[in-house]
Amino acid sequence: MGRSTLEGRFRVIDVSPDEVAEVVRELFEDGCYYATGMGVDERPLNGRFAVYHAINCPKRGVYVILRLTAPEDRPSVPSITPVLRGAEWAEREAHDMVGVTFENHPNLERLILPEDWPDGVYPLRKDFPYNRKVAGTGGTAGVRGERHDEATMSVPLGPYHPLLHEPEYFELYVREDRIVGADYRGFHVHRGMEKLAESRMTLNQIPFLAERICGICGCTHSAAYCQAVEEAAGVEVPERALYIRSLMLEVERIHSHLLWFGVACHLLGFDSGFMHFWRAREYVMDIAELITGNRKTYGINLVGGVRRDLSGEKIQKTLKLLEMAEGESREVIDNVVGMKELIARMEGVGVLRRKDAREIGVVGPVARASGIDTDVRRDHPYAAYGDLDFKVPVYRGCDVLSRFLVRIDETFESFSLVRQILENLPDGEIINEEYSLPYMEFGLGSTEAPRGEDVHMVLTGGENQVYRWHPRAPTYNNLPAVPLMLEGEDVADAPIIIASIDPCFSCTDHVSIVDAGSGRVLWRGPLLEGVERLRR
Amino acid sequence: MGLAVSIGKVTERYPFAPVEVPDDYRGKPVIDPGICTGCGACASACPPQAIQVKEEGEFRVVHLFLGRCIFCGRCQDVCPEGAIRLTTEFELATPNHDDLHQFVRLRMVRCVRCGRPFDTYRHLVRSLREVPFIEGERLLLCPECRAKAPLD
Amino acid sequence: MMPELSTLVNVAFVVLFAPLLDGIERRVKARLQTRQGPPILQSWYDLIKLLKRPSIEPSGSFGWLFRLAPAVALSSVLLASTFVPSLLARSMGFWGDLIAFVYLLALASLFLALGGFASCNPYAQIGSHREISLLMAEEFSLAFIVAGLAVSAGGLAFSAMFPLPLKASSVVGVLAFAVMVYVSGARVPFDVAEAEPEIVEGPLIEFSGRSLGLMKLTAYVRRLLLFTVLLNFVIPFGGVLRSSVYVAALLVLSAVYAAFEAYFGRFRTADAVRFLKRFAAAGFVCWLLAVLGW
Repeated sequence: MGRSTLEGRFRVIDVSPDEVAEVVRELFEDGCYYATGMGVDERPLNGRFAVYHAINCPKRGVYVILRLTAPEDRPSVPSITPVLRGAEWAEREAHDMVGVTFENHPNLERLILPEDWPDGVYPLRKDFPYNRKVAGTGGTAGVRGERHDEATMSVPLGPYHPLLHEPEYFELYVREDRIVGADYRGFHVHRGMEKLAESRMTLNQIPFLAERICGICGCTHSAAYCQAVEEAAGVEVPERALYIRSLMLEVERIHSHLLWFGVACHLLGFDSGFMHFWRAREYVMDIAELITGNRKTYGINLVGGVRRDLSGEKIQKTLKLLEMAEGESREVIDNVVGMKELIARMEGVGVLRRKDAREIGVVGPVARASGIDTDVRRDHPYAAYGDLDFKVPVYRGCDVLSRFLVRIDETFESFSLVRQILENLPDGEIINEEYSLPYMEFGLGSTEAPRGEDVHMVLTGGENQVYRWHPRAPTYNNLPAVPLMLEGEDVADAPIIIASIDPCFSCTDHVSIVDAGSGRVLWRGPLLEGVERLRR
Repeated sequence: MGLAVSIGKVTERYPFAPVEVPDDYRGKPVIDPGICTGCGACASACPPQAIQVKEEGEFRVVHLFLGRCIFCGRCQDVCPEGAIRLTTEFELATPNHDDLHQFVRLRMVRCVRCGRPFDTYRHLVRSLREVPFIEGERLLLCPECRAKAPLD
Repeated sequence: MMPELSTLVNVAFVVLFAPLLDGIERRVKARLQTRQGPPILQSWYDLIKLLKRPSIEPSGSFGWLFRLAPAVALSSVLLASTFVPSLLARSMGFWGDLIAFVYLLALASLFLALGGFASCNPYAQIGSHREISLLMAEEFSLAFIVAGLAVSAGGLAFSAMFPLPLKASSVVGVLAFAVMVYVSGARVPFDVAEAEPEIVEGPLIEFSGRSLGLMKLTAYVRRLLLFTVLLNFVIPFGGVLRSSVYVAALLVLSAVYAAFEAYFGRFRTADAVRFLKRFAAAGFVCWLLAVLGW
């Protein structure tokens, strides 16, 4: 009846500090990349701190979770960032929030918490009550700017800027119309969700919190969370529920991509495109409202299945709306693709070479536009994707245009997927609530969100709760690539380049990652070189 | 784009004309005070804790505050009596704060032995459906006193 | 009617009608986007609201220039409207008024850019930088067109050129001028200086309240004057017929230009400049034809 999609999905391996670097190197050479990591205060259980590094091995269809621990009096482990660049932010975050030190980390500075947060106070430790208020130390906030010569003008983009839909801060170093460097500082929207979930929320309340990580891709977060718990508890989710989940995930992908096409047009000065795309998108919003009772906060996922079923009548209505949405989208896309001036502004712009993409560990359309063939739906099948037929578009242009094309293909694949799901919906229950929650069991759930791989890690707790929850949204992995894409480009292209990763700062920020200093290590080399080159 | 000419305007006339929502659109939740037993299942399930259940002397008060509500409908899912339902009402903006609060006051039963109010009358009556018939005074004992009382 | 009185009428007409044209353009664009769009008087409502509000000067700006810029910009275009026949055919024209017209309009753009620099906001500075680049490129093209038309008409006064004689050079010149009117009105793809998502409205970013109102009115008047000159080149009759045709043509031109604008995405500065440089060739052709007597 049901199918556990979680068999052999991940493997937790305890490693010793001496061997971790070697293991990581081997995995990377085997084609794996760094997905995410978390620090956990396990002192109430065993007097130790733990670090979990999740490494995605798409070729083997498994996540390898490397677990390191450290004693209470010396919470320090070796950093794997020197071996695997993609781990930099995760380790900084664990340091900032849990207080674990990573030896030989190139830049172990604050990532999430504000600069005037007092030292030695770690919010995700179990002895820090969730509602404790902390007074600032009165330090100065602000980006520590790079030193540049007088010819270089610094153009701040944010934290509040009409072009941005969420607060974030990019500091662009500009010479006339060229960008010679960029710094990023984010995590202005850190909301302390992990702490909240670990302190005062129950197992089935958390999907609703997770859904509100993002206003565009909420369903994927609630699904990934539920999957993580289902893994940990070995819950068999009924097939019909898996199909309904996939349905809403694909509906979400379509709406997200149409939204993005509109935003991209607007940024390129083509407001008519924005209006037409969002008009087509309205049909998709109507589908969501029809099925879930709301245009965006679907609230459909629970641990063990879904909350709402689909009647035959709803299926018919959905198919009609789908046809309108697909037809109109196609018309607008055909028009846009035929506009040479728009294409010219995307071609060859914001380039991210495949090598850099792999090392940084970018995901989703950004990765697929740089020639990396990866998709969680195919590599680690979840929900109903194992049964469904779809293509994964990969382009080699590495530029904004390639990312645009990847999303176009994905959108039409999604239309097809929605039809397949509706035509093959299996009968049966929509939820399985007969399970017991084990104590301190690890679970990992991952989905292919519209922006890329979304990973949630969970350690179950007792009494209908979770001990530790760590969501990692796709934009977290894609942001470090942005300064590389911006460097050397015309400042007029900055918005479309930043937008080409389809950034979701709310998603990224819930984890709270801050400080321009973080990005600096990644691109300090090219930045200085760039300035030098222009000076001559 | 000849598209625009063939489509015309898509702008809806709202608020000068009503907007249609599906029948099962998740709007404002309303508690039926004639059905609610004060069991508090909704309060436990509510993710933002928009529903609080408190005791005020003789009464158990179920308090729903729309300002915290996320319109998820979990309360409706878990209510054993179907007392709380989400309507399709979504135009909730108001200058009057009171409009955002709903209170249901349910009289409680006092334990005949220790005198403590331990359950609402309605819930007690409802729970008789599920438990085997309890004779006489045992019914009106609070859980602690009932546990201590000798079985007949 | 005395020239002074008709000039007064013309200036009043220009000031009152310009925001209306903007309203029409917004409505047309909205309909092409399947939207309802704002009412046609919306630009007036917006202007009135702005003019009622105080102007805030950013600290660290060049206050005197920041305050001066909107006044100079608006005065330039209003001055130009005294000798461009708009609603009424008679106005205070003079020899060389065509050149004066071109330069007064350029002066207005210049002060838009200077205002941007004066605000010391990095976005405004980028926008002003772009505005100057565009202005230079526009002037270059316009110079050829104007020269060609002057030769064709046999004089540098509006009185000689309104209307133009029916010759090949006039036709080429008028068409070229029609394109320049589009470009000069900062319409997409040439709204590089004001690019809202890229540099947040460019030079205007720090202007607010009354100053912003004046800047906007300047922009609207400028567009109207350019249309007016274009129409004057071709409307051959006078009197009431002329006035009615003129007003009707203004409405039509606005709608047509707005429709065009709905179709394009924005150029990068370099691309806009390149287009204009190439377009100067059209102006050159006009001049050549005129010189050859055609």
